[in-house]
Amino acid sequence: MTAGAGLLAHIAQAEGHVRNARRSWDPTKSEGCEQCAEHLRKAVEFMLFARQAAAGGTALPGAKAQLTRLHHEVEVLSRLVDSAIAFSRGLALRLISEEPVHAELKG
Amino acid sequence: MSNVFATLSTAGQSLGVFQDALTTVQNNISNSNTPGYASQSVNFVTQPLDLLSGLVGGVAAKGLHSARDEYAEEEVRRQLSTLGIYESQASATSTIASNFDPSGNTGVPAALNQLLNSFSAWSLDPNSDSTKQQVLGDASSLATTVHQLAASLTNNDQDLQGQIAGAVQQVNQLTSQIQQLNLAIGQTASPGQAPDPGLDAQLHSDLQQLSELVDFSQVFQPNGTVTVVLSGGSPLVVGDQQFALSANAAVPAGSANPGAPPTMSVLDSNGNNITSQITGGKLGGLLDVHNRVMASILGDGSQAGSLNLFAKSLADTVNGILQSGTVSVNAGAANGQALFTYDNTDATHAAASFAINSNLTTAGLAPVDSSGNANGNALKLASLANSITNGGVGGQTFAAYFGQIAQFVGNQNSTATTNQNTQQQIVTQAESLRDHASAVSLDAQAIQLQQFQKSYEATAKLITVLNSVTETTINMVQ
Repeated sequence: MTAGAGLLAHIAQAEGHVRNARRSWDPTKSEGCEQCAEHLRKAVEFMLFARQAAAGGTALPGAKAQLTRLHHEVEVLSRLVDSAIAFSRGLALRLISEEPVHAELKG
Repeated sequence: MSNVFATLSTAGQSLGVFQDALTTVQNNISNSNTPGYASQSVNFVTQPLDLLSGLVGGVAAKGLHSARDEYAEEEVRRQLSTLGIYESQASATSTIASNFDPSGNTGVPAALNQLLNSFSAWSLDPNSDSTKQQVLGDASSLATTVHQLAASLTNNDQDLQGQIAGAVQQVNQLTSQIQQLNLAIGQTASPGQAPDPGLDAQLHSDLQQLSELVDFSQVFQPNGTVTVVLSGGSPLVVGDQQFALSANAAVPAGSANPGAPPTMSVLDSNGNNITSQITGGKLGGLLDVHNRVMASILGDGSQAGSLNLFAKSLADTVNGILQSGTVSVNAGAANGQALFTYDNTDATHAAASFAINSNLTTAGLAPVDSSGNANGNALKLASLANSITNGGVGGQTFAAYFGQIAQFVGNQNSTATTNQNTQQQIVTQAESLRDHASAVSLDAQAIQLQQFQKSYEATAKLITVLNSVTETTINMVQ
């Protein structure tokens, strides 16, 4: 396999894992979060290979467009995860603020 | 014997309590599809047992408990409000973009290209009546397409104004309903009790609908009523009082272009301009497209608008070249006449009034430049196709400048559509997190929260690494 073809193949693999990460992402289930993280780990691995292949300086038509598409997919997932983080932080604050009321109900 | 009565009494009381619980479950099932309804459960309270004092123990029902998690509800509303902006931006910019052909094969770019080709043909045969006729015909076609584009965009602009007024009306309708619900909830409220589930469901359904229109914050009062204020601080509903909004279309007083398309603003119940407070929801998106995107093309009180600048610069350049020369090389030949006309009383009227000079005939076209070159002017006009030496707009050729207008609209639409798709997923996620948070107890939430937060943060770190590697690779690839 040429360096250029290798680059495209690595990007495609990474793209597939990012899509799977998006599909498995479920902030209400720990399995969903774990599967998503696993796919992302694999995507990082493939992107490290891709970066190595790109360092060879092979210019390949379509690689940039493919990378930009991948970047967008990562961006969408990033916004979803950030939103879940913001939600859980807000919820944690609310739980702290409602603690006295909660204790009273239980008492 | 008294123990037997006590036991019977306790059993009877318990049956009554469980009957209440069954009724509540039945209500939950009946209302499972009611918008805004949150499932209820009966609070069971153990009763003191002291037979000597006549206290027979058992359980009693002490009000209803709602599964609604107000924080999670607020989060869904916040995300819906953001979705509202993107949806309305995507829809409105899509309508504007439909006026521009991205291929450039029709409309203004095609007509402009045709005219520039005619100028080129004229420069090869400057005294030919047929090439001059061709110039007049193509100039007329260009004028018509510019005029039609301006008219179509003006229609879109007026439609947007109507949509903004309609959205304000919808906001008022919802805040009126919320005010009525506040009144009803206040009248039926009992201290320490959750508000009537039906009224509460309607209230939350209305708040959700309102969040799709504007961004606001709400504070629930202990009696279950709600105070709603716009994110910028203007009240919409306080207790049983509604503060209605109104839409206003006007060119600000003292503007440089008094005849410009109006700027849309939203006024509070005292007539104060609170447009800047509306940054979310459908109304926020519509205001943004009208007052920013459309105004940058058609102009407003303080700017001419890119389409008007295009029309004015094109007319001034072409007319300037033609009027600087003469109709023939003969001594005493007449000066050239203007090819285009436009209303220059207001900078925002140029495109809508752009037309061909109706007094001009082929005899009035001047191919000779001021130095006496027989085709000097025609050559200058032909050069406008790919050079700005003899005129242009914004440091670009006319075709490039017009392409930039079309590209701006296309980019606005593309960004809004991408944001809309992503935000739709975030809304779905927020709804799922809300349902999850409402389904578990506060204790369970606290335990799960720590576990989930760790998972989320680990995922976020992986995303950061992936993003960084991807960006580096993008920069490395040619």
